[in-house]
Amino acid sequence: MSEPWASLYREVWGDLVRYIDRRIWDPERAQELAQEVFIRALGEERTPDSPRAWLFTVAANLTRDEARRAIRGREKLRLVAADAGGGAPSPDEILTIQQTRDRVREALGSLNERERESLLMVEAGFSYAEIAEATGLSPGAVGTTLSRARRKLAVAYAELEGGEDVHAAH
Amino acid sequence: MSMQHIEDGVLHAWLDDALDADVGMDGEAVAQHLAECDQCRRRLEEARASKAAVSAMFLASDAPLPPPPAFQVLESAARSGGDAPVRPAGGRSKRRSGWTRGPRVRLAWAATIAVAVSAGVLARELSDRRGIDLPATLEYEREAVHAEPDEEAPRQAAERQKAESADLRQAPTEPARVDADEQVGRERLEANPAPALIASAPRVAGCWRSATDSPGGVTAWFRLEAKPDPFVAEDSRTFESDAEAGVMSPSTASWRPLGADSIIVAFPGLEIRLRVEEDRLAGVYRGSMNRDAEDAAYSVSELSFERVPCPNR
Repeated sequence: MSEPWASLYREVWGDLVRYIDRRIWDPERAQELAQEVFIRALGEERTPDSPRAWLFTVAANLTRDEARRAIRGREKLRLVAADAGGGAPSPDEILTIQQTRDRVREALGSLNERERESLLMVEAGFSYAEIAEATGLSPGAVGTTLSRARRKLAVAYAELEGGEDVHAAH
Repeated sequence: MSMQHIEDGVLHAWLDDALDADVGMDGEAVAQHLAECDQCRRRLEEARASKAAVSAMFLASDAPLPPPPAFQVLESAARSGGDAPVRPAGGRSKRRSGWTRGPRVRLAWAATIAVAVSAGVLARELSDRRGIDLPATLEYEREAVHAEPDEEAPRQAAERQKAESADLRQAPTEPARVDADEQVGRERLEANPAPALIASAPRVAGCWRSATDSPGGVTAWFRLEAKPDPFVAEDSRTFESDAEAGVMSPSTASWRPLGADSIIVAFPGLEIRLRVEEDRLAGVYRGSMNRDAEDAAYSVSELSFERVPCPNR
């Protein structure tokens, strides 16, 4: 039963990890959970009708469990080896990726659950029909929800970015 | 006016390519109205900008990911009935040693991505001449509030994280060459709250060819486009072949700025980080060409592309 999963594995790995990471903001744990999802898939008696959707649904359930667990440590990016050649990201760049993560995470807090769910799903490549099924929205309402979600997120992010810049200047 | 003004939700469905199939609306009627209605076209551009801004901020917030474990590892974990996740740390030291030099690139996995194959061949040839070591790795350091018993090795997997990030705070840079379309892109940007992320797009728009004299005759060239949105992954940039290199399919590559002077061009499993110089893109290729292999090696090698005129389409 592992054949369909094997080909899907290559395709969806990155999307799946990021889908999970954007819910728990812990990239290492996200990779572990993505593996867990595939291990569960391989244990299934029969292949689901929509294997891709099945994987993401299981992932969403796992991350909900995860969120209920104890407070997690805050991960921090740190450069451990200096660059000799010229292609490596500077400590500033690494700091920037962490800042960006913090801001996106905070900005996502300004969305309600349906908005957040729709947005994470569409970013992971789901169709409106699949989003509708998962969120209980009508297919026609998915676009409206996404429109609101995107605008709110872009504005919240810009405010966070502007606010921190002002703060840093003082 | 062929219909009432178009709702925002419909515009987003239009942009997400979901109108006909999922929402059950007639895309042609929407297209026709858009052709006649300045106001709705303006709102479409706003919707496009907010969609692009969100995609960009997600992209910029992605932590670098190492290649996934070999599928066989998961299969045996499933067989043994263990539902505990396989530690990303498995095989780490081996993989880490594979991070260094180039010629270990294997092409099986990438066969589905023609352009990645091409870039890989190019990288391999280059690295035969001057392989370079992995410059840096990232470590995740945890300030655990409640350390969990099963979190014994938070830094292990992270050691093979690729190092990359995007600088959202760069100052807008002057484009080397601004044509009408790029100007539109810039104005569109200034009119919405998108991050300053895309300011470097006009500088890299155009066609680039590998500046190598590889005896195998493999010449990669690609077109980086800054429209309709400077940084939307789909349809905004395509990799194409030159006649001699054989057929390369359009790819789902995306690119994004990295600081004021660099970009990352990313395929599944393959990333090329390039410095933007006067008329040259130079930098480091790093990527894994065979994720199924136990020793899924990343190769790192130098690349250089020079600006060439774009052919007619």
